[in-house]
Amino acid sequence: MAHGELTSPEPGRAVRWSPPPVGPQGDLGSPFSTAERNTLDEVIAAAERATGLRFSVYLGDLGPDTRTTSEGLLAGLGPEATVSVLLAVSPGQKVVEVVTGAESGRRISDRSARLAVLSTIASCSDGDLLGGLVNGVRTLADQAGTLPERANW
Amino acid sequence: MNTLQIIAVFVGIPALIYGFIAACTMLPGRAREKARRRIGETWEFAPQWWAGDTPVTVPADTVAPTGRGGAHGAW
Repeated sequence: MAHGELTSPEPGRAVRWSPPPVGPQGDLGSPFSTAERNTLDEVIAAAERATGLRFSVYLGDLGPDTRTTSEGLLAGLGPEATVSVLLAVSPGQKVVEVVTGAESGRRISDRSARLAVLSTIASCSDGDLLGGLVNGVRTLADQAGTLPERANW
Repeated sequence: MNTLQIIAVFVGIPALIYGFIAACTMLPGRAREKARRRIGETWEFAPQWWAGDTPVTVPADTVAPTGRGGAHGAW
């Protein structure tokens, strides 16, 4: 078929023209809207400002071995991995993982990480993914505690 | 201008404008095309990974550089 040639699957019947979208696509292919992504960004930034740790959030498939994939993601943060916390949620597999580095693991114990996982699951099992991520990050930040020089009491 | 004309200009035209704008908000837009995810559906979105950009100080001496803690949960 030459470029620009008119086609019709059934002769004599009009087909609705649905061209591919052109220009900025907005949040069509994203689970979150722009406002929701801004909310998550603010929550992560607030957690980092208070705790001095690097927070990262992953949303997507984690493969067959979710733990190894999550640890690989944390290692992908490079030299900051020791002070990083990863909250990984795989809605398809219905799995939540929290991974802490060597230094952040001293601030956030495994029991505290479990608390964040539970609060994430509570929202995600209800279908509220953003609420789960926000609750998880805030719980982790609360457990890590505010640095004394950054507290404004 | 008689009374009918006055009503047409000062009531009819504003009502037309209001009606046009109201009709515009009811047209199907791109926002309506977005499929909201429901519980139990498969996850077909591409993986996304966010991290903050606040400067962090990495301590020079870490006790266990490969230590990995955390927790796992499923629902």
